[in-house]
Amino acid sequence: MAVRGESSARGAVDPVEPDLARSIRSWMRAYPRRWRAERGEEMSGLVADLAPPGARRLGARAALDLLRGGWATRWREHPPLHNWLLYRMFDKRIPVAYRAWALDDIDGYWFQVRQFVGSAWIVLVNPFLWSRDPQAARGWWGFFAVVFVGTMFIMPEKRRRTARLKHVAARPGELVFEGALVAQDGPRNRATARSALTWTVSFLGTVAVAGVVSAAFAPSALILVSGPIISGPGETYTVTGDLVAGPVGGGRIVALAVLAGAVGVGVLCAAVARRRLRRLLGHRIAQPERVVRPVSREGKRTAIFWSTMIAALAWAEVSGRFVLGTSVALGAVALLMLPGAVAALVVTRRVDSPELAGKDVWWIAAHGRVPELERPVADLWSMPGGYPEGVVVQPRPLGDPSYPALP
Amino acid sequence: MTEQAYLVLLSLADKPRHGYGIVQAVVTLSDGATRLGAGTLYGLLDRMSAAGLIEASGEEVVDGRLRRYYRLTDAGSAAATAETARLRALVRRARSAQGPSPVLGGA
Repeated sequence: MAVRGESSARGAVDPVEPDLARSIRSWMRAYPRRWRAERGEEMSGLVADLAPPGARRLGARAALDLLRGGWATRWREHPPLHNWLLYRMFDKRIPVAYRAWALDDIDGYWFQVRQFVGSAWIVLVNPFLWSRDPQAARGWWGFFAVVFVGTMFIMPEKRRRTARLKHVAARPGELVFEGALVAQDGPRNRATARSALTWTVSFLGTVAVAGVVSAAFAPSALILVSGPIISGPGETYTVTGDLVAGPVGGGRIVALAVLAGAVGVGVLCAAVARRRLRRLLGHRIAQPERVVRPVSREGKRTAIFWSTMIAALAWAEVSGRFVLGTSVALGAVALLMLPGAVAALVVTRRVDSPELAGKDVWWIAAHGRVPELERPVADLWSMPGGYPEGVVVQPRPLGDPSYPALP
Repeated sequence: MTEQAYLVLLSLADKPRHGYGIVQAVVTLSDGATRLGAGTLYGLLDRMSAAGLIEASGEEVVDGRLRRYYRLTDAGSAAATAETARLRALVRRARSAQGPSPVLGGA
């Protein structure tokens, strides 16, 4: 849940037959998220009451009724076209009346893709996308699909938080009431060291393996031609003094040497990191502004997505679609860091301290100093009741204590 | 005002009701002709709350189901009364237009 400090869900027992309840829940997804949070329980009870006795699925008529009602609700609460375009394309702040809509939009699964498509639609004008050559067009569509979906996995939590603060948080001067969503400082989420390192090691491991496999088996590389090349297998090069794709030749030795060098430096770094961790892990300070938890689901999805992308890149190089290079560079970075990550995982497993964050391990290993005090982070908080009438949201100069303080 | 909205207003005229209560009352009021689906009902409730015709009046949990009650506001009562008056006037005009006839129950 994005908004913090909300009251917990009602503890009602649902006597509805589980299959029917599941069917109702899935049809009710036609309604906006906020609407379901507020009225969903009440409505699903009514839908169950209206269903014929013994029904295990929702009938077509009832399902259609929910679909129509849900989309009508979405349509009713959607911002007008001009507000929506300004919000989507230029990140202009949404009017107060549509904050609830914006919060749903921001917390929605595809938010970042929506934002990106809204602001980067201009790339669709790219003539290559509409090229008559189907292979070229397919390549470009594939590239943009990866870029668009990839935006979902670039700092998702931070970008959502920024968007919530901009579009949804009450502005200075607005009245404070129970349930008002106000920007306040709060503890920062950090992944536990064990969970973060486990995911880091598997991610770096995948990237390293992809790099090594590509360096060992990729058939082609970019080569500099100094004279006209007349023949190739089915192709003819006539370019001179240019970089073209050609047989990998000695490039393979260079690639493998780069990877081996990275491992060597990585092992040296790992030795330093290990010494620092052993010396400093016992000297950490208390971190009141931090909540430690395992890697979030979104974090895991991010790691899996990028691992898959890099593995796909290596596969493209091995199968000769791409030239050797990128995955070697990525693999070298991974091999540089992998020994250190493994060493850190081994050391922290021995310490067994649940409140140790991955950030602390990185800080100690990279800087050789005790981690600094974590700073709180601003996010949206639902206000509790108890404020006298007329209290307004105050501006938040940097470094001020959280506002408003309870009387 | 649509007929469905009018029926929902009428169903709340005597006492506050929850969603299922409204659906049943509307079936009775319309003599079985109108059976509101949940989506239709909540669409009406949303729009009528936004227009200030009805308001929520408490909730309870019965057999593990959350029941939220709705009641008419003063504006809602006035709207229902006005609609009834309009329909009565319409019936009167219809009768005078058609003359005494068995279809409208005679004069």
